[in-house]
Amino acid sequence: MDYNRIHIVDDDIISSTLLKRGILSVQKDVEIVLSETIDEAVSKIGDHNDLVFLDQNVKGRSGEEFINEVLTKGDLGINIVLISSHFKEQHDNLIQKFPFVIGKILKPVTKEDLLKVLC
Amino acid sequence: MSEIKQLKILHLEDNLADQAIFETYIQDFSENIEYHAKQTLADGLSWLANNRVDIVLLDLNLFDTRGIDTLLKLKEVNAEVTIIVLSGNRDLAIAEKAIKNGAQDYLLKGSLDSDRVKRTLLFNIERSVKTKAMQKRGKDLEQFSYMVTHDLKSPLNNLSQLITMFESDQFEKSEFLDLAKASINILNDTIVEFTNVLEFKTQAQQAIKEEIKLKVIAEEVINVHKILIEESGVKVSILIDENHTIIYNKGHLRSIIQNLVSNAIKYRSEENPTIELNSYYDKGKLVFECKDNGLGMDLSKGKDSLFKLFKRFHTDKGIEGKGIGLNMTKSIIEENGGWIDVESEVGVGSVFKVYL
Repeated sequence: MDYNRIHIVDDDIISSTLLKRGILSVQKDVEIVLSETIDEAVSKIGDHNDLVFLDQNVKGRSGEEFINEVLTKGDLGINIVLISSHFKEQHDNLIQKFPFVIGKILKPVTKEDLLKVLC
Repeated sequence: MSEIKQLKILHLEDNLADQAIFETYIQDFSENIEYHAKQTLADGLSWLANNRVDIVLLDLNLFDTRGIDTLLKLKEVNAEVTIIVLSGNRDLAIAEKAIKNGAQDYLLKGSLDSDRVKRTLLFNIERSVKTKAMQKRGKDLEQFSYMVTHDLKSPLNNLSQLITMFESDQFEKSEFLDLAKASINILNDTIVEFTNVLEFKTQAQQAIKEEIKLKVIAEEVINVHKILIEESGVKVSILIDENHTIIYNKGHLRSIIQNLVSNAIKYRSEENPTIELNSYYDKGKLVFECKDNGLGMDLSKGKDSLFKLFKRFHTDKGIEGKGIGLNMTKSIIEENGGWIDVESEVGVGSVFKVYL
């Protein structure tokens, strides 16, 4: 699926850099936006057709907090992929609860993981 | 009078004569005990919904409930509370069932006198404090282990991903080396941080206590921060009563005050920043208060999480910190039998109250 913009929400800059490079190796012509905090990510989120790779612990705040804040902006038509080095049951609940949360990827993110989401 | 400090007891008893006897025993024992009595479980539960209590003295047979169910219903609503069953039933099987279902003690009403009640209360208070401290340490350890695992995994995952991408020519050698070195540095820093936290928590359990003046320690801390205070333009007022003393470990008290003061400086307001240090007695405890007119916090986002390891509230202000200080401060205070409370409003400031 083609996305207009891809957001990476992660306070680990090295992890974001690696993910960005990985995404560009799979989909070359896409704008990638990096956010290190939940507030920054919420302010940068676009109108529609954005994909968000959302880490589950961003400077002490959970991915669910981002989802709840984005929901207050109305239906933005975005998709979210959860990323984490450790998933809990609550993350599966997010996938079941919100149809726009389309999946989860366990870090380290591989090229195969990205191909499944982006192609 | 006993050495008991501020204890709240709820007595659930439908026999008014028994209730009156116990009230007399308890009031004779210590004037610091707040005694409340209810005759039905429903009244007791509704009272418990709005009040914190240290011990519940429970008759298993009340107007609206009978037998072990009384204990189970109480535990269901308040799993943490210490329950001492007072019963006229000599059946050992019931006593065993009560203990197995969470009662801390089972006493026969007919065999009690003032001294026995006193000893029972002292013993159970002590046991309850120790049990709760152990449970808390268990939870802290669980949280700590999770954080260690998570924070060590991140740089390791990055290294693993980096190597895979380098092997498939997605990185130049110099870029690869820069990122690899950065990941290793993060890994090393994380291990050092965790070692420091662990050492700190261990020391908190073993420290020697002495009688110290709160004001003296506060002045020492302010003196240490003198240059930082001058540079940041913060006006500090020490309003602590000179006569307020406490039996405490000096290093612990210094660490508590230092952490709260340095946070107040770090998260100060841009205009006329002030910090007020005060002391007073409340709820039977000496309270150290640190009040500022700084950035403040929206505690509706999670007051409890403020004191968790690696939790930070001002992540968008560009202020450095890992969220360790308040967790350590809370650990020290609780190890010493106290607690910490906070009130805060964004743009107005924060008040941290330490019940020492």
